Amino acid sequence: MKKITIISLVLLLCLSLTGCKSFFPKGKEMEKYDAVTVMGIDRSEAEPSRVEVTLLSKVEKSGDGGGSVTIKTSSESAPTVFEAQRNLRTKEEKVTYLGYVDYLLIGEGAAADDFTKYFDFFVRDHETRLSPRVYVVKGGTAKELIETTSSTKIFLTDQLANIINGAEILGNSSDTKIIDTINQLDGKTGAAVIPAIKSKELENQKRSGEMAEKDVAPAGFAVIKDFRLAGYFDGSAVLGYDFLTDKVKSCPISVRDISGACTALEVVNTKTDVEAKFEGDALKKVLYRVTVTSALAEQQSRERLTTEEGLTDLERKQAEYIQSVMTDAIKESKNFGTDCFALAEKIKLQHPVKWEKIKDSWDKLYPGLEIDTEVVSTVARSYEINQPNGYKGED
Amino acid sequence: MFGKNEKNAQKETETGEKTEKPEEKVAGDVSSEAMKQKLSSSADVVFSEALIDGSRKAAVIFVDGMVNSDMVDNFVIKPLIQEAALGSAGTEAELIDRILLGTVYHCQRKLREKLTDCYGDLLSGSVLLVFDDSKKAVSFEIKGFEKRAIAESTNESVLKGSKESFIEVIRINTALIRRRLQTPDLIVGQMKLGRRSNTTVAVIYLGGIANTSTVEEVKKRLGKIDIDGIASVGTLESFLIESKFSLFPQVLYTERTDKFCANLLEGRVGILIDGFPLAMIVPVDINAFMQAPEDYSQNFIFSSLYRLLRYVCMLTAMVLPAFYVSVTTFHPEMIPTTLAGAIIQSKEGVPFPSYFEVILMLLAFEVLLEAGMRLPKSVGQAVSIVGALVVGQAAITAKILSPGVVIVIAVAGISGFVIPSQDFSNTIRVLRLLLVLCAITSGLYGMSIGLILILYHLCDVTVFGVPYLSPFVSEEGKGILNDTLIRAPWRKMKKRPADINPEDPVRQR
Repeated sequence: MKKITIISLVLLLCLSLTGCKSFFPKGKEMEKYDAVTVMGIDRSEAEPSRVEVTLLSKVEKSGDGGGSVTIKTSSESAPTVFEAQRNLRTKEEKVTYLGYVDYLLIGEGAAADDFTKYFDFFVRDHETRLSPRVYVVKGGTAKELIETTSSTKIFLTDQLANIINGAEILGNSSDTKIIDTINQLDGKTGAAVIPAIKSKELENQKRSGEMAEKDVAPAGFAVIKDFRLAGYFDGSAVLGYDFLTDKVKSCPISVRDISGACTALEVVNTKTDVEAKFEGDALKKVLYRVTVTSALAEQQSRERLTTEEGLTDLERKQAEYIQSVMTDAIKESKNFGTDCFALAEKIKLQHPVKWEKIKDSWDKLYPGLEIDTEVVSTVARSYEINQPNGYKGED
Repeated sequence: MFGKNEKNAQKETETGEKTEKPEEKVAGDVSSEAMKQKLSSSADVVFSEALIDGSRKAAVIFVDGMVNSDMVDNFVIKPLIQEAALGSAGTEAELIDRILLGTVYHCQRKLREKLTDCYGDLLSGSVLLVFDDSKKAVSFEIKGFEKRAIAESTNESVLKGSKESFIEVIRINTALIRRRLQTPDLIVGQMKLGRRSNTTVAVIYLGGIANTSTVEEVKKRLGKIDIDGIASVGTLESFLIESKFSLFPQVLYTERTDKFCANLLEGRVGILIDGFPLAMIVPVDINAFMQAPEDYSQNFIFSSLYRLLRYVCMLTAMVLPAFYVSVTTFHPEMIPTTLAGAIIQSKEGVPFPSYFEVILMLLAFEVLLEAGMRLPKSVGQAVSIVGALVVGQAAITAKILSPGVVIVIAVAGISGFVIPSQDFSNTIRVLRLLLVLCAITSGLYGMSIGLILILYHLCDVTVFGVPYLSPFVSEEGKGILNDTLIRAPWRKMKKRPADINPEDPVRQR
């Protein structure tokens, strides 16, 4: 009896400490939620001091006839993101739930105005996770992109997932989550670099089913300097940025072989090391050393390339290409006048004492800093079992 | 129940009105007349007479159907009438002496001078020769009742292992054990329990291995039982266990002779009850209920993987429905977006909340199990198919239940069947329901409290002084890797389980 009394008391105590206003916490059935998967934040065009929040969700209903899919887009403007999303809750039949947001899109106008002003809600809010991917919408608003790129057959989240998958094999974007962006914004010595996307007109699309008005494509990286959009890495600088920040998992590189025909190299392994060179306490130079291993994925000539001369030539051209894209990225970064590659963090880790002496002048030092690149290039796999088709030389 | 009986017994003692025991009623001198008075109303008791030397008569009494008639005729009656040595006996006392010395050939003979002993022998399958003048009887044990053949175990079947299982006759069961453990250290203690049933109960252990105090405690607890009859093995179990209100089984049952002997070799004590094809094994811990007989026949890697699988399935069976209720009702943020979308989609149009669906399905599951158990095998299968497939599918199509709940309950149910012990599986089923109730009140928080209470209770349970969770805590946790979560190779299992304190801890050298 004594034991039962003690257990009952402990149970009562435990249940009264749930932190809920009622004795028991209140639950809610999942079907009552509207699972928002994409959230867009813009500066209101009508009233620039206000924030415009756009939510995108997909409602699927199963049924005997295969079910139905409804795409739901709703937007609201208010002084803050918090108020806007609360207002949206009153307009929906279901409870708008932000726990399932997978993608956060920030319009270009909002990013240029003050990135943190529109981003702070996600740092604090308990409902949203820290794992949604963040994108800046280049040349437009998040609302427009959300409204024009989804159909009942092709959903925006599927296209964004394709961009993430594509980044792994093309090196044209990156997978940046809210937590990564928070960390970048917390850094005191550089810029935050966030992948950018853009909507584009449909080109050469032959898909069955209902099409969306527009397509989504990666658009390089947005550079957020002093909490405002400073510009974009685009073109070859995108791949250069990925190499410099060691984010490349694989990518195709096309070079001309010894016969002048086009050859595709598949980067299968890459590693980027940074070496800061000091003279005394003065930082003189930084060397980026990229070690790349590639496979010969395709050759258009009928020459045998797996000779010492052929491979050396390919390796040299591959090194030159990678060096050129990295130089472009460094040049862009210096144009922005900010360290976009978290170089300061690496120098700090390598030379903590010397860093203390240069940290205050880092912002001034960086634009004039000599940054060299070096590529150790290897073509390791030829996949060549027989000679190329049409080969007429000696075996 | 046990406590109530104890109280009643105490009350009777205090008031001095204790019920007279049946054997006290039959106390008296041995005479055929007294036995006739007592048993003549029973049609199966045969009373006849044998004329020994033309003048001297002896009453022959036996229970028809419990003795072998041919043996009675050839080895008792025939020598009784034909042996010249008996005819030449001067007195009845001399005659009895000659019978006891082997003139009547049957070897199992006993002299009985108490009526109680006579009844005991008669009703357990002996033939009585009653000599009224001497007030003595000679009993010959000539059991000959019909019995089931030794067959393959139905509840604990194995691929690699013995096909022999216990039957209802205790003497055959003890013989099966003797045949496997041919050592003089095998001790078969025997006692009669049940005032009216006089059920034979054997306490079996290996002297020099089993802990002496455990053996004594088993005998002591059995000796304390004062009940009309042993109608089921559960009756005995309820008197043996310490934690009466615990849901967890504290006695291991087996119908396999090899498993029984393996447990005796580990130092445990076995109990056999006449009339039941099951043996009880004590003391046991939680791990005993997660072991299957085949664990020791297979490669230790397979056995270890299966062991781990059983523990995982046990947890799945117990926790999954409660976890589902918790995350879908209180913690939706824990569910990945894609899965959440699928759950939301499947729940569209279902009128019931998740917890109600889960409880409904759990009850339906129990109903199906119960129905399948009561009905004949062929019909039972039909019930399962109709219940699981037809009704389940119809309920989903009609939007009465969501597919997610059906999957969760099915996974939990199937996982529960992986547990080798039916008793432990039943416990898990009840706990599953209790945890769902905890989850309904406050989600994972309530479920955690429920799990903590279960763990607290498990830490509290002991079986004959052996902690229920002992394999996980004894030997500084070494037990986990020896024969608990992992079944170590035989070469490594040099010692017997330490938690049961065997007299000889070394199993192999």
